[in-house]
Amino acid sequence: MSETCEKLVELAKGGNTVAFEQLIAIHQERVHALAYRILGNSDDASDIQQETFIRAWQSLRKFREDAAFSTWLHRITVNLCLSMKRRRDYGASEPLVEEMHAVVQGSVLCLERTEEITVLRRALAGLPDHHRVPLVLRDMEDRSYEEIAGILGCSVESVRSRLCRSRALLRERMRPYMEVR
Amino acid sequence: MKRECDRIGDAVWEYVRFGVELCEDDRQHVAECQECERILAESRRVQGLMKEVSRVPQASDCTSAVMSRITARRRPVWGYAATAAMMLLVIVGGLIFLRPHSVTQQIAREVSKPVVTAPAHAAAPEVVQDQSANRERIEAKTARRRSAVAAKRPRRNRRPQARPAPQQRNEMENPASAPEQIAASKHRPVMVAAATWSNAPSQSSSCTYTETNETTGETSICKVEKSPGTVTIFMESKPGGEKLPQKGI
Ligand SMILES: [Zn+2]
Repeated sequence: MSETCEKLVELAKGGNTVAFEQLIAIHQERVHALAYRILGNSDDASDIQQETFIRAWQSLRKFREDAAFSTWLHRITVNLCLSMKRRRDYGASEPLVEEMHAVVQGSVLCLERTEEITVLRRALAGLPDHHRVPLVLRDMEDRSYEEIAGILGCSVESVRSRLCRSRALLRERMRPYMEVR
Repeated sequence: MKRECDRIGDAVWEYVRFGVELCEDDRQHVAECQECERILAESRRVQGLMKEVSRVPQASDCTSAVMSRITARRRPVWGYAATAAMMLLVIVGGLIFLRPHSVTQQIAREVSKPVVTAPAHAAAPEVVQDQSANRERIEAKTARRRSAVAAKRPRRNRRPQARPAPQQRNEMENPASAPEQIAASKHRPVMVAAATWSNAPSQSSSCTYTETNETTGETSICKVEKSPGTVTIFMESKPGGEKLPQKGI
């Protein structure tokens, strides 16, 4: 945790809203990105983004500095995403706006690429949460094994084995589609 | 072999994604194993697509939305104190209006206590002490009136009272022990309950409830005073000697 962040967290713990506002400004993009990558829906990601900071403010006193503030914050985000997924019936995510543009442009290459992306998105959405979330954190967000273990509240070994399994599952699910090409 | 390919498959993935070099043995295995060669090709292709899937739309700034929700939830401390005080007033007021007889009984119990056995009087707040001159004047007057009425009234028709404590009972059965003090304490305002809180609103207010017993003519007055830091409830009983039932006279 950087010194600035540490100081802001300390002030926010004492009820300083200005300090907490700065913490939001620093972390909000990553929180939104993580929520979007888990849920695949922009509106829901925005809801989770707000809720993450509200929960963080409410339980800031419980935050112990043995982990980084960002790790603690992203753990809240992951938990909120997973409970939202449990509450709702989440299917495969909708294609991104950029993908739709590619379709409109009409290029065969773009269309093929768009289809492949949609297939991968569906394959990812179909992975069980305990396999998909480590994959999102490692392969989409470039997090270290240690950080992932901190966010998920498990051991580094557990992260390694879950990642190995989720990558194998993903390759397996993409294989039929790739063989056709 | 399959298990080994799974393990190396993950190492291959890390190599493609993060450039983590394979050890010599694994490199040798991949070069010779058809399965691992396929894994390498698939990993490259899937990860090319993963970059696209990882794209995130521009996040909106949630700072003001979050801050307004946080500040809306933060109520000032005195707000809770004021709410608590108002709730106390409503509850006490409601109890007084809904259960007038129990209030009368409580007042009867209180006025029957001799001064020496009523420590609540000593602990009464300043506001009670300030009224002492006026109270003594009223007490003397009412005591005289009571004595006159009691002399006329047959004992069997006297208003029933709550059963007193043994010490009180002795004093009451043997009026010579402290008759004057008992008479003088009968309609002293009694502090029944008081509550304090911090950061109270600065305004003071009070309200008074009055109840008259149709049979005895006794008037019970309950006054609730709310001042900075305290809610005080006083109860006072004024006998109505003139209105005693005809049968009893
Ligand atoms: Zn192999």
